[in-house]
Amino acid sequence: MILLLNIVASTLIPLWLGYLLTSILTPRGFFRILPKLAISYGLGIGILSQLMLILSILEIPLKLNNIRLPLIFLIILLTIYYFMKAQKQNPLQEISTQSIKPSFLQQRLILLMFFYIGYNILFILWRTFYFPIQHWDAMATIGFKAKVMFFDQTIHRLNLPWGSYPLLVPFTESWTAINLGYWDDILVKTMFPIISICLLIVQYSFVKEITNKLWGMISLCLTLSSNFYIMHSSIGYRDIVISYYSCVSIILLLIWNKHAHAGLLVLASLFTGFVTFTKLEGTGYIFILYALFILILTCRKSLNLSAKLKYLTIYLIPSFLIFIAFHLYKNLIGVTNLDQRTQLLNPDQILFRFKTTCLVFFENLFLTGNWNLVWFLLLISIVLRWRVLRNQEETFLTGLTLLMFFGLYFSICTFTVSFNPIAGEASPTVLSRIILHFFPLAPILVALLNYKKPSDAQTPTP
Amino acid sequence: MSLILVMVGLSRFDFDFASIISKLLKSFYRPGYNLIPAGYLYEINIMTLIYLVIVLTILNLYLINFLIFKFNKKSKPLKNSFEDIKKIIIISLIVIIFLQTINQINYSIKEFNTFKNLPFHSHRPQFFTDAAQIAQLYKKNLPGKHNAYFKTDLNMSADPGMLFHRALAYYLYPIDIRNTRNDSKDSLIVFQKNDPMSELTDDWQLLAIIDDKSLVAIRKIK
Repeated sequence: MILLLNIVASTLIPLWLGYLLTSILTPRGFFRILPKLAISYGLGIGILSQLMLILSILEIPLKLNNIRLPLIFLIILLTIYYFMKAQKQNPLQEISTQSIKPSFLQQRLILLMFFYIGYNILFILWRTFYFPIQHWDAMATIGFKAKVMFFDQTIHRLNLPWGSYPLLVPFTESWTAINLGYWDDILVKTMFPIISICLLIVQYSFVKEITNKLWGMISLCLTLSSNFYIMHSSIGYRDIVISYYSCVSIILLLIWNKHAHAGLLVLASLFTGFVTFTKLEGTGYIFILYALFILILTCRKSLNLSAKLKYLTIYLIPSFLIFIAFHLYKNLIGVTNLDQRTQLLNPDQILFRFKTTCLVFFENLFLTGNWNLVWFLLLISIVLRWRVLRNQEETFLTGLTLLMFFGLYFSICTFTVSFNPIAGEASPTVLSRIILHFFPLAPILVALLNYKKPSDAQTPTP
Repeated sequence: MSLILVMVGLSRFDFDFASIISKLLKSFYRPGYNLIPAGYLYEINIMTLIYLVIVLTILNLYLINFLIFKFNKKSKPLKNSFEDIKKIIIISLIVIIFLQTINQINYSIKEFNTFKNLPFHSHRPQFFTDAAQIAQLYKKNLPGKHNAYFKTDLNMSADPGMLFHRALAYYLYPIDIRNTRNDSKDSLIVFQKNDPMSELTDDWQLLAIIDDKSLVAIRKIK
């Protein structure tokens, strides 16, 4: 019972903090309860990890009370602010989507998909809580760091294996252990299924808002049909977490594009910052997200230049502060990750490498057991629904972001010496893990591309 | 029809229907070590076969439609060929999901039996099991927080020695063998070393001999 309470406390405290902040940053009634909770958890553990980083930098021991008291203080402050704000604020009219009742067949289909989704979530939970940490990175780097933080209550000035790697996940694992009062190889993985489920909830809400319930469910089924996604939701790697932060950032930016609420942008910015504090790859992704936002701003004709600059500042500052804080600290204490991997290839090698890169990407996307038929379905959908991709804003922006992710890694593999660490035979899992970072965008895009608005359905497709 | 074509194609590999079904049931969920490789049916990647079935089905659909239209002018051509392609892919997807789910359930049942009747905390890792067990032996003899020298004949700069060392370091913690604390060493862990007693100089007090190549010792208090 006490064990359960400790686990609940380790989850509820960041969730509560995130919930309050989300409530303050967004108008009342903007998000429904489930997506709001799904965003809140990620926000909460993001803030928690920043707090733990600050404590570590100040060399304050990572004890329960040293972490919990500032969190509770912050929660009290935010609660007061929230109630003060709530009195002034009028609830937002519910942002409703087309609420056409699904047909009888659609209802049965939704029910069937509901069971499939439920089954997969149970499978993820079972795998998480049945097996202890046992996979390589989960143990040798992430778990080891978290264990050090738990037992020694410090990060030893980053004298840790792969010390330059961002610390959001080890901090969260150690937070769970600190709440438990002991190290448990199974229970420290609690955050992973939660993050995975949160990502599914946000994805569903986003797709449902643009399309309908049926396509929201289809996109979830497609995501869960990926064996790799299911596996990584339970094994304790950081890839599912960065996937959550990057995809939620993109989704929040796309929602902002529709509703242009400054608070939403702050939320998106915080998530973008947390992308950089989850994995080193986040340093590359932050520029993709910035590029996406700049593109969104450029396309918004209704905003004048000063408004655009204002929004750009709102988006850049929090994310950049989170990004720079850890990098600055690392550099100040002399822990860097500069190596030769960005060295360019000789021009005569590039053509050969281009061919190899195409092959390994093709093989991974289409011929492994990782992704089911999702990438194939996406490819067919893009070919068959090209016009939708071009004309529908969210679809276009999602597609473009996906292209930027692929472009980033394709360029790295083709033009630099980093092919082997990413897609070489000695690193058989890295490419799949990288693809996982933006994989949820594929089912989202499939749903957005194939959905036909009721008005479109009556006109024959070209 | 396309399925039949694929089956006939497979017949050159000593076609056996029961074995194909059995292999199909195992091919769509094969959790490896942090990777899900595609299954193989008679040395052919299962995903390639799926694409082949999809392409053949689409071709058959068009062929049948063409023939019907050719011989019966009153019949209507396919209304929306794109939609049909999508339907075929979706049916393939549903079939894969169905087979995958059966695989998953079979896998879960098998894995569930691994720890059947064992209490929650006794669930042991399936990988690096040796490291976990050996760490328990060391920790039993050297409880608490320690900074230890780690002496071994294993080659720790390459696999499998490196992997084993890192796994052992994880399971041993709070006994630190990776010099994370950067502090003076108060204990000695000797693992898989010929003549382990040679490491036991006057500074160390033997705590336990783990096996003929491994021991654990603590620094003598002067």
